[in-house]
Amino acid sequence: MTRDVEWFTGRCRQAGKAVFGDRYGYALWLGLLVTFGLYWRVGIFITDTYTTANALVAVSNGHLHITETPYTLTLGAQPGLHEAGGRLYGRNYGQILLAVPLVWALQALSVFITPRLLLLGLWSGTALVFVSHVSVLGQRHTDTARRTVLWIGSGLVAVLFLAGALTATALPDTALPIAAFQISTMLAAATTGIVLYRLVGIWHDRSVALAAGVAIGIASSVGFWASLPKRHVLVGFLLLTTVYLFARSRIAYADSRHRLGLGFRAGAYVTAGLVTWTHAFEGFFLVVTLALVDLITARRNSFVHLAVIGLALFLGSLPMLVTNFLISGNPAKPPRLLSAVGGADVEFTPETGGDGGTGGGSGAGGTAGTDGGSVGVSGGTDGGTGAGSDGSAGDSAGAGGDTGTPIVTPILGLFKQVLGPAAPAMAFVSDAVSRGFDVLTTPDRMSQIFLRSGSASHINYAPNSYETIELTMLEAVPLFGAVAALPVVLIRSANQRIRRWDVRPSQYSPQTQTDMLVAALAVVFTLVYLSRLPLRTQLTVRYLLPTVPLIMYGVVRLPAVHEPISDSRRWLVGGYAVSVVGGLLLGLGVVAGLDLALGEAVQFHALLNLGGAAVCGGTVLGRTLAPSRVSSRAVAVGLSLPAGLTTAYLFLSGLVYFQYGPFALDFIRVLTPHLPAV
Amino acid sequence: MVPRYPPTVVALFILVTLVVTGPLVGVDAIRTQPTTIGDGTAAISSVQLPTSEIRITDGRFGTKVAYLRVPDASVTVDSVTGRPRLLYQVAIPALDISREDEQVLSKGQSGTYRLAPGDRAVTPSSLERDVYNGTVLLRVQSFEATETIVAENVTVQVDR
Repeated sequence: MTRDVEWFTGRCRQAGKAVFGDRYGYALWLGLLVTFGLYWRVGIFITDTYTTANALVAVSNGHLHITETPYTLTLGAQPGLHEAGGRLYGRNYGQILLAVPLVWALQALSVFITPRLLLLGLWSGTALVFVSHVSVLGQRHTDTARRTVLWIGSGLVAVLFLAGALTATALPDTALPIAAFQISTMLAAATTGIVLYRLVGIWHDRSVALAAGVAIGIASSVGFWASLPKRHVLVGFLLLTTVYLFARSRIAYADSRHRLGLGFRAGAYVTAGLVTWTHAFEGFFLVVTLALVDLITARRNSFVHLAVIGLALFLGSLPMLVTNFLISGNPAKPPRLLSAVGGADVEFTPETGGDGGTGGGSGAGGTAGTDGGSVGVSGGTDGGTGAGSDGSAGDSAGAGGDTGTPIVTPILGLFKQVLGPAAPAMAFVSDAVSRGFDVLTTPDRMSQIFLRSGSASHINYAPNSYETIELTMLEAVPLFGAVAALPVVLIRSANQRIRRWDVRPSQYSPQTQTDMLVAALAVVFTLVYLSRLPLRTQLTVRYLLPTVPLIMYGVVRLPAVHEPISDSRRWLVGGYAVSVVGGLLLGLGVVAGLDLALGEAVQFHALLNLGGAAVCGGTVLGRTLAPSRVSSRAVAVGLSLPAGLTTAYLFLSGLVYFQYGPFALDFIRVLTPHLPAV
Repeated sequence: MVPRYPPTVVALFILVTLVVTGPLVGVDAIRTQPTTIGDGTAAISSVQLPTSEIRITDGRFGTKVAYLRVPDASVTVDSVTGRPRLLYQVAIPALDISREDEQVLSKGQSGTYRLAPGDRAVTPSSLERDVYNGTVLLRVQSFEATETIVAENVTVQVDR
């Protein structure tokens, strides 16, 4: 018995080590989850989530189609609802199925524990494990005794738990599925931090890796979306995981450990294939980019290896194919290609017009296939874009069942069905890319996506009550100011490469090969979305969120960034702490002192973050051009300033600016009335 | 065997609390914060509502919209019966805009409440006049009675 237990704990430890790497990774992951919990509001922020949340409830009850709608009063008015064979379906089933076990777990636990205290208990438990890991690390790196940290940390958690329990307010049972959905996104966000920590840790020392993990979690827009169950965080996580597995495979190949290399390589394809389950077209672009870079950089492309990765890709896509088959009878037809019901939402999907018509019935915003979202700025209620639902009896099913020769006809029929959506899908793919190139040559549009939002002329602010809440990429993640040094670094490495032009890509170092994949993915995932941007209800250009971990990786890979981080850790940590506190005080002070409205507050942070980005870009560029002139301490401060300002914005956006539901933790709820309001 | 590892101690304490307050044991720890209005009334002793601060001014920090600025109201409630709500609303009918905030009260919750509807953005092109007529309303509402505490017509200046 005890031996079994020992064997089991040993196995768990092994699995934990495989995922988290070491205690630092574990502490990072827990710390991110604890932080996300602080500004977690239980509820729905963007109208698109109504559909997916209702679909989640349906799936957790054992069927794919939506029958009841706990999260909307009327069925059919939510954006993103699709219809096949007379039944209503949601979308992003991969993301939904990830959350289903969590729904069951929360519902099972709620038999013993009331929902509100369940959330509080989960947070407190996570915080306690975090404290126990930090105490070990604290003793290792500072003079504080382990016991001190343990007592203070546990005491603090106990006090917060008591405060939360004594002020607890009722949370309805119907909140549990959406809470589970939010937890699944938080797990994806925290795990993105871990994957970046592991990936950076392959090439650089631990402090750099940890800084990168913290930065992606709470100093980038990933933290903003951590408790908002949209697909983008999950896709970003899978994208980065693909890169990580790819990197490990290149290392193994370089060490001539071909079998191990093939294993990791297959893993990368499985992960890439899984993206199709959540969003088929993002998955498509990921697979194509991965395959291109993979085939030209692999040391071995023998038939067996190619067969294995083909199988891996098939395995990764299998859940998607099965789900599609169950819904529409056609494995190659994802829910997004089915006729839309209700609102004008056909976001990032080809306009096929469905099998039997419809499509045209999607009312107003047809032109750019806009995302029919709006945010509960004015206090919720407005149920999305609504209107124009014609539903129309869907004949899209008509599966391959209409008799004939027993085997050949069904197979042929299936083949035709698979190819049916393929032609418009291909046209869509080439359109997305070529229109993306067009946007590249439109400076004012590029600036409204990447630099300064203000009141962007290309955005229709009306659905969000004219509040200018949309940030650009740089405003949302000012650390990306460091990208200013990228051209210099690229020119230098291109120079070196030219001198050694005879080396083939398959002989490049694993590091360079990985950088190539990251660059290719960042470019592709930006390019295909450009034609839809700028757009309302993006908040931090969320369509580009999957590229944020990739760009963060790129920033850390700049020598002018990772060298100062490992040289001046204290300055980095100290600067970050000062910057967070300063950003919070400044934000609260300005909101209260100048009596800001929501749009003004967001734009104030936008300008503040741009300032931080300028400092960051300046120091990093200076260090790149003249390493002797710019000290590593200056760069450390230049990095910690925008990072801290971003963290401050995350907290304030959660605690003050965007209110759409009750806080998960009641000790936060009792605190917020004392903060100024927008 | 007494656990001496602090996190374990706290974790045990939390676990016991969770189960004791849970549906199976049923010690009631949750305050049901009323969110929906019911019957009842509330006695209001004082209201601070600076109606002169209601104005339309330009948005700052590059927002390029105008804002109807709605000041917070501070209402002191002496006694409550049932579940009435406080409703504070500012509207400009000519522009078809309004902002409101509500607070559902419940028995025994006397004290001072802040009602903060926040500002309302207006597209500058929709502003054709220098002055608009606005209405300010503060009410105690419930299913059985509605008591109007403040009902004022205000002139809203456009400062641009």
